[in-house]
Amino acid sequence: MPDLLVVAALSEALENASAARPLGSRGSRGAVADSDPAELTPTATAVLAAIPAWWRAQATAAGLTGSWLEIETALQAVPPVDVPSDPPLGDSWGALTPEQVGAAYVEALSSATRARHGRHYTPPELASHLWGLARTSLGLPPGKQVLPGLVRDPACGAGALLLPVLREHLHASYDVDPALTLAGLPNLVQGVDTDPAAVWVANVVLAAEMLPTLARVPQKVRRPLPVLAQVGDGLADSGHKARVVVMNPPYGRVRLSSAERDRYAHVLYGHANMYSLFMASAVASLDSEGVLAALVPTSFTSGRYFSKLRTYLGREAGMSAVTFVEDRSGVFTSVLQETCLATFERRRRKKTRISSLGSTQTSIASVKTQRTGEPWVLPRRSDDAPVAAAASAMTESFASFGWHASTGPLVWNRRSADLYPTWGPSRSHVIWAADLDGGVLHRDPARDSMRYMALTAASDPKVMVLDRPAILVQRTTAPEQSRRLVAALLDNDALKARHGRVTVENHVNVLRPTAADPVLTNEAMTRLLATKALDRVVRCISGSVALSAYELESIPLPDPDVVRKWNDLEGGALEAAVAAAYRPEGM
Amino acid sequence: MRKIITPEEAEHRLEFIFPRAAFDTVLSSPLAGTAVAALIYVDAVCKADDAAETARWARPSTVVWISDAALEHQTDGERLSWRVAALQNSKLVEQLQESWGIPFQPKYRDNTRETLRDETFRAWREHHAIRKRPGIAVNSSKPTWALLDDFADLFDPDMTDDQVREAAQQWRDRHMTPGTKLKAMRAIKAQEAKHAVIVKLPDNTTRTLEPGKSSLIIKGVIEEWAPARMGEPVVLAISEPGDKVHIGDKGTLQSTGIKIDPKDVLPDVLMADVNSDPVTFWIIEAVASDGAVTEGRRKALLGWAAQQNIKASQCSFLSAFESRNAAPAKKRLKDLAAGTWAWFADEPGHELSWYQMFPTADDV
Repeated sequence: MPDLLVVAALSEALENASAARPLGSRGSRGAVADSDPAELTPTATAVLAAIPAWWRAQATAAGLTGSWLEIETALQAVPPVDVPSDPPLGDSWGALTPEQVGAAYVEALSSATRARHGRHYTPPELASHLWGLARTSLGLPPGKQVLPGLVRDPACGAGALLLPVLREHLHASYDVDPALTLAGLPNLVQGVDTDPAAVWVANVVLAAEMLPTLARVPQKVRRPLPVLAQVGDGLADSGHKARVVVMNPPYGRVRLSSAERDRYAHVLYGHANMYSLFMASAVASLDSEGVLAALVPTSFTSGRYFSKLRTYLGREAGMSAVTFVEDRSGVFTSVLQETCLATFERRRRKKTRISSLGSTQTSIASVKTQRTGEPWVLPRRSDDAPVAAAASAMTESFASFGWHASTGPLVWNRRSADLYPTWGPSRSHVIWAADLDGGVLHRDPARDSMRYMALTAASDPKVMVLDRPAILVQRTTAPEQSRRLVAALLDNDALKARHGRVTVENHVNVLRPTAADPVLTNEAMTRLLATKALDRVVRCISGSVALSAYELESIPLPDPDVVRKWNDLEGGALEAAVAAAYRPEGM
Repeated sequence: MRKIITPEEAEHRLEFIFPRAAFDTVLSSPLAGTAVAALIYVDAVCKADDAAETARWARPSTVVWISDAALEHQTDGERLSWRVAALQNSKLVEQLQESWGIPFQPKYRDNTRETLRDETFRAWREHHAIRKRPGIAVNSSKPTWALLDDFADLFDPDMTDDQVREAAQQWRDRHMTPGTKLKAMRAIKAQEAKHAVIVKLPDNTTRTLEPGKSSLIIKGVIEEWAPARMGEPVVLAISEPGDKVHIGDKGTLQSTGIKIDPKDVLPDVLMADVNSDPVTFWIIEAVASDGAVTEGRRKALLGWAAQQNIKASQCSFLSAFESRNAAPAKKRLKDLAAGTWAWFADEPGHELSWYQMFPTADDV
């Protein structure tokens, strides 16, 4: 490929690397080493082809000469494609940082490849923050320290998370014989990934970090630089326990073979998400003082599909710190999903430190480490911290008192042909989320063109119809709405006014008591859902604007005698009583 | 002046404001309770937008020196004289208390003030309970701390527990929401900017440094000494008091093969003359109080440079002082390492060189 083309391709890849990158993905867990050259886009190939030139610039800057300037002799790793022996690039590419080289490669993959395998590059700020969290958990003092044991990244990609780790270790090992330092690295830093090209890039950028150390080794005893990343399955048991696992694992649902389902049965409930498999096997691979530091979606802290994972983590390695990444600051534009940096420790800790990371890091609270499969109550803001502390100590919940929540069955765009503006005997009144705004059930005129649904399918009268009193709760609210919890009562009168039956759309949760003698009447429950204190509790459970039926059922409640008293309270008195119930002891 | 509160009661109230189940205990420890009592005793309480000159400030030592016996002397006159004494030194506090007929028996050891400053005050400040005087150098011994008035309101001894609980909830609602925090942070930034030292780098970009003598010396070095001394000066790193580090253009560093980690920048300023061949690196210490390039320091800096992949033969050293007449310059002149230079901000056109006339084998 002529120079100019490569330069153009590279700069395009680099530009993209700084633009938005979606982190989420969906796909099935493929075989190991499934990245055949056909998957590499021309740009990705161009990035790979440019690497020998980059290496030459790095090695020259480190003061090395001769064969050490050739990547293929300096590092005993075979490139996944033929790289030109005469590097086509000028000196200007020497100015790229190892992080930029890695980002350029990942960015140059086609978006389909990235999505299918959940490949995404970790921004350097997050990488170093994650290592910082791991260091704190390890109890390493400030300043450069040599690594206390093996640090592994089971989904290392182009090596972003291992760079700060290796960098610190090499700095701290300055006084050690450089040849010994280099020889010892494979026992301390290890990356695994399924993509051979990414593994090669990771090996090159990690080796580039070692160049100054290599330059200090007397010429006669210089050996090729160690290969730290391997092609392999990050979920497989490597046999060696790790002191630290750092990772930004792939996300997304996967279909598992029955053997794998069995292997992960202890952490799976319903759909398997790739990242939960990585979390479980990472914890299993830690030694007795080990620490897992992971950049993962926040969904594992509250989602139903992660309840077994939470129990497992609570038992094996409690969460000692979590940093919520705030997207609104615009610092990490690449992070689309709700994301957090979390550390889990084999050693038993009592408290979880909670903080948020935007343009600066802010500490939020430190609460008791949660260890059950119930959604973990974690305050996202410090003004919610006392409520969260109180709620997390409660053992009762909506579900334990016999309340059952389900999601409205109507997905309107699947039934758009059956939606009408006028009533008819075979039609049912549709309740839209907007009808709950303000906490009182009403009829939002904007939805009137689709107000009634014809019950055409045979199963409709059974599945789509609600003809008993219930409490309706919005399943998702807009960020600008002041409350995350918006509920309205559907009582007998309201049902009668709607011809005795309604059909609830899927942005609304339906909450109904199943116990014969519920602790709260429907009316009192609706009033409870409208209190400020409960809204705060909900904010600590889901963290996002969505509130699933499962999360709704899991809202912690105080003892039944306390709750029963709320039946007779209203307005300010109820507000004060609920606030007093969600108050930490001794306060 | 506000009514006095006992350290025990203050600690009890802090637990309402920062319940230990939800917040780090440094926010509501017995020491923190004593801090509230002491700051209210000396009336170091101000509004968020009070001018720094008119507000009254206290030092961590004020808290360390207070005692229950002193807190019993509650007239405005007594509180005032205690404050005046505490702003000077412990001797005066001791004399004053003797005149009151009580011994000087501080509750805490003197080194407790570090815990106070680095943990409690720092955490309080994050939650906007306390204010730090802007425009004061980090290593200054001036008093810089004052409780914010609406936080101090929560310690009115006449309030009942229920009233405190209610007021604490309201205070949390006001001060801990992300929006309010952002607003407060911007206001603080703006105030700091008023006092900051702005340095113009050779590439025409500017850097804002913390106020203080050392920043002014750094400014002189970069703006006056460097252009006169070097063919093409490039700033690679500036490290300020207070842990802040400015790293130069990443691309430049990468292509020179230098790996600087912001977490362990040792010298105050690292510059390079890219017009010389090979590139010369200048390792510069700005000496406002101490830290000139002595033999020992030179050795440590060379070790650091080697770790950043900078060769010893390419390193030159400069100690920069405020003036030849400044105390640290007079004190350290005898210790300057051989083969290094010194420069004085008030005589920018001169440079002092100290070298061995006949080099020995050790120097090569």
